[in-house]
Amino acid sequence: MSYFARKIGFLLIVLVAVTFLAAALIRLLPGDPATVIAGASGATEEELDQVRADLGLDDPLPVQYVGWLGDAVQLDLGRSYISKLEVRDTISDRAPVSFQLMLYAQIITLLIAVPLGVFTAYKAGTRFDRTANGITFAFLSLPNFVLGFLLIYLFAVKWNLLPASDYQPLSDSIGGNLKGLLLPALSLGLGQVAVYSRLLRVDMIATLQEDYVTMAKAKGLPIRRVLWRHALRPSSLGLLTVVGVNVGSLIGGAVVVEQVFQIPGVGLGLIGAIQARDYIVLQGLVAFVAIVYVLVNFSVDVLYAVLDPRVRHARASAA
Amino acid sequence: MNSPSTRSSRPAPVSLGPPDPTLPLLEVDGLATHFLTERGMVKAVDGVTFSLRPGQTLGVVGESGSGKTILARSIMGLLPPRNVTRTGTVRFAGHDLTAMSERELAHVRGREIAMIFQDPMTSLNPVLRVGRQITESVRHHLGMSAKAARAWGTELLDMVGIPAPGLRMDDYPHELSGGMRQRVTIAIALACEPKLIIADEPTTALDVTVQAQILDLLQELQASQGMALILVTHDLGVVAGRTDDIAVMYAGKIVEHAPTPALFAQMRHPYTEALLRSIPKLDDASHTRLETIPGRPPDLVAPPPGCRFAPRCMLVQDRCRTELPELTAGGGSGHRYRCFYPVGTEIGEAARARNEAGATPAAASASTASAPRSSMASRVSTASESDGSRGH
Repeated sequence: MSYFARKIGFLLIVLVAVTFLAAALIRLLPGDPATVIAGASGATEEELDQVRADLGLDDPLPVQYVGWLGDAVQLDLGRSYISKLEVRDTISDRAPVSFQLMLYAQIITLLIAVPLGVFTAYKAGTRFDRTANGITFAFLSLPNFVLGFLLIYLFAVKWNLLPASDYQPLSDSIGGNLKGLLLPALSLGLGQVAVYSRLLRVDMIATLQEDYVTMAKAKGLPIRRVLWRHALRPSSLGLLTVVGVNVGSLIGGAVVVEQVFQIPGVGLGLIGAIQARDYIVLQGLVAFVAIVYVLVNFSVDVLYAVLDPRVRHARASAA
Repeated sequence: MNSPSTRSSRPAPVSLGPPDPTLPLLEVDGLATHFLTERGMVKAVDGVTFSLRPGQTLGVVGESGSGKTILARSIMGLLPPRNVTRTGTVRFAGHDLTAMSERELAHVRGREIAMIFQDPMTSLNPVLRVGRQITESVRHHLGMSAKAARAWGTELLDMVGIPAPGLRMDDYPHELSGGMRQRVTIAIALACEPKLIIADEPTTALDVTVQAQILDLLQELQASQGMALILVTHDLGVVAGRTDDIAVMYAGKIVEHAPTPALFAQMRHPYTEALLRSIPKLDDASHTRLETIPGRPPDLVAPPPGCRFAPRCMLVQDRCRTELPELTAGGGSGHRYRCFYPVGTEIGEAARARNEAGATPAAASASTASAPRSSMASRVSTASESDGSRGH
């Protein structure tokens, strides 16, 4: 009980801190929504002030922020200054896109990294281990937008196998959705293979020294089963932590990759909001990202307990 | 303890056929396990030879670092994959285990030879339920159905004296006490009804009050199941009443091997004698200083050239420092020992008397420059002497 109470308290503090900072920082940028809306048409200073007053931008920041927060608590995130669309709708349009991209990227990374981590741990120090290390680090050292352009060049331009930029919602076409997100997911996922597999490898090497692994071998179990059933789970807590961080940050938008592939996700939304000085949209998106982060963090804590019954036990006796 | 109830879920008969009681079950011949380290080659096990009949119990005794745990693991081939060399042969029921591939060995491990580890806190997998850890070997080796395996696992837990075994099957190891966990590891070892169990210090990590219970349980099960048992321990007292034979190990070698009664009636090797004397006795006055063996076990990278125990030995003569005695039979009834001046023999006691008299005549006759030995009665001086002589 106290565990949940603490988590929720933590969530609220993070939310307020992050959204306030975002609100303050974007106002430091030159220009404001009024100049974006009316400035292009050569409006006078009085006209701009009128727009500001209409939008409530002439109040001091704390007043603006508290007003926004009061509405936000009632799930009213306001409307974009420019498009006049509900920020809530913007989020519900964009979040699923980023979520899908995150999911595909994580699946790709884990499908490669977990077997690789397990196997390089088992074969630690061999030529296979070193080769795998070299290849995965090559992908890691490549910035993901460079990898993105490379993949576009190869798959879209040269071989014409996949579209360079063609996001289709899952509801329109499953195949089209997968096709459109495959290259961006690869750009995001391949670099992380090195991080995941090396992390798992290190924990796995430590686990393979444990008595209970020798015991499993002494039972005559095939090495495959010793590795996957006895050693993988106790070795995966470190990996889980990093996956959690990545999931959170990718739902919040893979800003660069979404830009490269023009995927209408949260990341592209954030860029648009900053460029248009659309304070209210930015605050809404940032609040969403912060909530996602904290929730993912919380799920990771829950998953620890699923993976390791000792955590479950300790938590139960502490409560 | 509980006699096995109706053994409905008992595993199918063993694959290699019932052992012939007249033939050795296990023959270890010249087994040597060396580890390549930065300091050099560590000869952890260095030429060990012994055999075991079906149903026989052997105690392997030695202090920390004597190589007894490595010996246990070498028999099953459970050594690290790299920087280890194992030579010699281990024949089990006529099959050479050292010539087998990992895949072939997997059919022997757990199925024919099972192992119990020292510390039940670390030898059970913390993330798997107890029931699964017990049943996975019968599921794998004997192809038992999940349901039959669970029934058999429950029966095994009952057999090793765990109350409410049906409920404990669903526990995780951390929910059980140390003694209970070691009972679980015994149940795991028994699961496939192996012909040989190797127990590596099975009680060292447990409370004193639980130690005797676990040892009694092992002994009972060993007798009722007709399994052979190798009981590895540092405590001569543990194996005294519980084994047919005892092998005493020192610095990677067996220094004395005898049927248990013969060994206790007439221990021949000075190390065995010293080991026994280091066990405190109940009728000692309180605050009696504990007897210790002076000095430390030798460095296994560069062991002494002669007898490994020479630097710490009370009976040592010059010959012991240069020449390694063989493990030879003496006194009948299968008593073997590795000593030129055995305890309780005329030459041995003469050697002791010479050392206690203050000087080694052997030193005089050999005209080597070895310093006259101070009184052997003083343990402190022996310790310093033995330290000094380690540089030889």
